[in-house]
Amino acid sequence: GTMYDLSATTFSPEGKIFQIEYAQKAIDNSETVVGVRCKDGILLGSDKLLFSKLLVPGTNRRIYNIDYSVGAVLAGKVPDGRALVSHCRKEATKYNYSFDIPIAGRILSERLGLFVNAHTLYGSVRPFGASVILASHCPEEGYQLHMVEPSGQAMGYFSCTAGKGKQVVKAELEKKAFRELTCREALVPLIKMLILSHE
Amino acid sequence: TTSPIVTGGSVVAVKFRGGVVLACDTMLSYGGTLKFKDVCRIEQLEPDLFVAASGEYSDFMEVVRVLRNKSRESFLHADGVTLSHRDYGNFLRNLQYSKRNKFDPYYDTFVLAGVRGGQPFISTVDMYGDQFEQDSALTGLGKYFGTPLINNQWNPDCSEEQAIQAVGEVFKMLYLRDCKGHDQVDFLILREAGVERRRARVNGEWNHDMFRTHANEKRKR
Repeated sequence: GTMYDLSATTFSPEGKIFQIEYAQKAIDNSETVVGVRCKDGILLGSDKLLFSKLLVPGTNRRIYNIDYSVGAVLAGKVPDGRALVSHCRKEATKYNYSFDIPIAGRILSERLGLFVNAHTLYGSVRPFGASVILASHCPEEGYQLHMVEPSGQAMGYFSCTAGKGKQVVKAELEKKAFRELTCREALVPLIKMLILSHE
Repeated sequence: TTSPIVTGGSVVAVKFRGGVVLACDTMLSYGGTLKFKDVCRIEQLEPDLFVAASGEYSDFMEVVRVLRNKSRESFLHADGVTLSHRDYGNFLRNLQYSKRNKFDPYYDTFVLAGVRGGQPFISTVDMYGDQFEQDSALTGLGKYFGTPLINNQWNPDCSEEQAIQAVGEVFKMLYLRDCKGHDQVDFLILREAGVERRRARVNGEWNHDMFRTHANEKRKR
């Protein structure tokens, strides 16, 4: 709590950086998102609450294109997430410009991780209050799923989830072998999971 | 580029009823040398839009990359708004004009050809930034050798066969008269239903009666 949580540049005696944990809290209080790697592709899903009747349906988009072969869903604060999406797009473009091939998910998530981590090293910036789940495909490595968290940690997953209902969804994900299903077969169970997490 | 090095020859595009024919030969010259014989100089930008250019080939490759990125930007937005054929032409015009004003042009005359909603589309942009959206496009020496042929044998509402025939005539003339003309031609036939590519070889008639007799006469003298 006190004293050690004023800046992301300070460790607590237990070895925690509270600002990063608080950023993670911002995600944990936000809508549930899920990403699942299936046999023939990747499904990304987001629970999108329209908190007012005055909102146009379809607004407040959480799923974005990064490149022709990369997509992302945002967990946590959407404005922070959009800044991350913008950075991902820049990275993908620069990579393609240098190497003339589309960027692999593994590389993009690591680059994004570095970017996110850089915002935990200085007192003058704050960590991002958003996680990005990246779905990608490249000829060499096939379909891949990665998640980048506010600490800058970027890991590859078979399925991952973030947000309010992540415990519920995680339990469901561990039960079902999504790896063996096609995207079409996995769609309905995925939607059911998101509805379940709503409670 | 102010002096081109590897260059592509003329490009010809004509509309017909319900589509467009875009054609160019498959050669790249290195000054006066025939350096690359088998190059397809037609690049795809969208499922229904293609581009070809005469002039410096490296500049063409770069501009195609830039145009494809424009298409990609539009895709990333994912908001249901896509670039129209005219948008590409306008962007290309702006690009060429701004480069020209900096004394660093992309040394090409571009031809965009496409069909959307049953409407054929042809637009040319040269290295000064002049843009013309017309029913036919001829670049380089094709403009001079081909225009009379096109005027006599084609109209924008003709059949596909007639259009291809007329374009073929232009390339035959170019092979015979243009030093940097080649006998192998790539045709791209764009219709609403889809795209067809053809490759043909011009029949360079050396066994022409008049040529044979007159040539031999001259030699006897």
